[in-house]
Amino acid sequence: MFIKRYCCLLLGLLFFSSATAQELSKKQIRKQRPKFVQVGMGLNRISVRDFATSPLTYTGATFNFSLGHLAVDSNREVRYGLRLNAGGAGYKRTDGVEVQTNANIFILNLNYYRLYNIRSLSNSKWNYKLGGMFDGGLNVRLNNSLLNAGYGYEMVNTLFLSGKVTRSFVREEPKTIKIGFIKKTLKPRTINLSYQLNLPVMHNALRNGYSYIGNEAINEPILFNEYEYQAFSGLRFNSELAYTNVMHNGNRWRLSYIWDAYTADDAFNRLEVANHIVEFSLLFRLNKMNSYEK
Amino acid sequence: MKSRMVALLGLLFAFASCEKIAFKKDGESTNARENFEYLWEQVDKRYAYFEYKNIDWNAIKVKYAPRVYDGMSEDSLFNVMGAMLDELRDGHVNLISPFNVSRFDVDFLGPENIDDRVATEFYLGESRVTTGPFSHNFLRNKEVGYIRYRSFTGTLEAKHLDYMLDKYKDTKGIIFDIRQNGGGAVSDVYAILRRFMQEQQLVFTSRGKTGPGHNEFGDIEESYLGPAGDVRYTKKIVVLTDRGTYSSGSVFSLIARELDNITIMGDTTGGGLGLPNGGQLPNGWTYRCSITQMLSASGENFENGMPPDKRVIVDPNNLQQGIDDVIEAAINEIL
Repeated sequence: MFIKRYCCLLLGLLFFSSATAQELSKKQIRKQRPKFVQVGMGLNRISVRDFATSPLTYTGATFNFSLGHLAVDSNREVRYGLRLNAGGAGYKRTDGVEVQTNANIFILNLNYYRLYNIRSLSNSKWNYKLGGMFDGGLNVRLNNSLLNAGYGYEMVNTLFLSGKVTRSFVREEPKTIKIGFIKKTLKPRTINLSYQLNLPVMHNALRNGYSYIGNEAINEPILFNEYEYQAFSGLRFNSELAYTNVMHNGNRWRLSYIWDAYTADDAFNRLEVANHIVEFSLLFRLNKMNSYEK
Repeated sequence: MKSRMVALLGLLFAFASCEKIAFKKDGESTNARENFEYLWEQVDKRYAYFEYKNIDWNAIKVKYAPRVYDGMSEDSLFNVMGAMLDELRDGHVNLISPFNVSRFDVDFLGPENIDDRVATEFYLGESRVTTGPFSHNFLRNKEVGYIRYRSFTGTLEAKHLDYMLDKYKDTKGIIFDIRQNGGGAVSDVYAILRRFMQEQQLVFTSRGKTGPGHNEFGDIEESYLGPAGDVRYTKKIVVLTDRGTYSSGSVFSLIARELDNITIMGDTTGGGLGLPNGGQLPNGWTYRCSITQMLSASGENFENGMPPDKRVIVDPNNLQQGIDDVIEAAINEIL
């Protein structure tokens, strides 16, 4: 029932936003829509718990790299890209006999989202968009203390319903301010503060089977051998809070906080992963600026 | 406008706190009872040989649980849990802490069927050749090759086998001695045995746990192996085993018995054919236990040890004279 409502709302909004172009053809609009290649770097505070091997939460940091293509204007936003996280996480016992175990972690995510403007809610300052996102991820962990189970990997794929709200702060004319005896002229600028929330519609995982290590060690290694596909498995929440500064040449820089937390459930081998990523990214304009943007 | 900004930030923090709701509570615990219960339950759900070994795991819990009490030292807890795991009589079951590792010594189930000093001094001799992980030499006027392989080190390279098998190509047979070989890298097993094969064939079967029931296994998987390598040896081969031939050593014996040109001689192997997984306890210690069963090509289970084709036990009196009865019997088998 809940999913049905989501779908109806999504279809309704798609229909509602279809009559946007009045003066320009769809092709012209698509061509003029600002397009960027986005290159990002940052740090991720990660926590991982794989109940198949341990009831303990491993926490640590990974380096985060992202690369994407973004086409965005007030009516539509389409992005596809990849995100790579590599680093380590560990567990350290704080009382009694000292125990410390560490894992190397590698995560690759491919994602795509498409958002449409909700015209009835949006205005020149506030922009609301709704759409969908797909994220497919591969997690790899190497933890030598877990012996034969030390090499763990799985795939987690999610289809989201996505909503995004953007508040634009635009200064069109230079503005002079006075702080004490100091006068300062502030140049025209545009800043966007946005928050995108992605809620799971379908969350699937390809996880180790019951015995976790399977027979790979004694047979020819086969990727995902004896793995089990779990549809509608667990929960996932994903969001991004972003501060975007639009530069005069059309390029942009962005500071984001990305939160991505999920579980992959089965009766025995539950997985819990949380990523808290702080990322700085540069968005290089790929097409010419429109006259109204200058 | 302010109210929308506040709502926006509120939304962010509200969803960020969902993480704590969606995730289970912290599993860390140094409580002795909790760790005992966790280990018992994990083994109960995962271990692959309860039925084969006729082990009543519930009875073992009843035996050991009263020995666990609040406030007991970590050393004492380790001893209780280690002793509980030893009841499985499995060398692939261990409890690993920063200060000790529990083990069940399978090789103590029978006497060592070799005196390594005798084998080295009187059979390999001073002129022995060391090629990678192998020690080897000719015996009986270069009619027999003798290869001693003490551990599947994982350092084996094709050039080692090429050199060695080329050296013995004109012999009537090879003795491949894996007595007291406690195992190691199973990839070495395949690399060696491929050199002794003439055609691809079914060499073993296996099955893994698919549920918590003690007899809950998946389908039997068949595994095939075929010849490989530039230099191969397909004449008579005698593989020597004893109780200390364990894990990958047992796998080697299990596959070797399927090859027509190989005879297994010596004593029963130690077993260790289950693939051990690994896991961690709430207090951070780790453990492992066998979670699969490796069976012969025809489905026989040799986890308690695979008997040789020809049983030969060393005579201690002969050992004192520098005679290894098993090697002597193998030479006679070849010649």
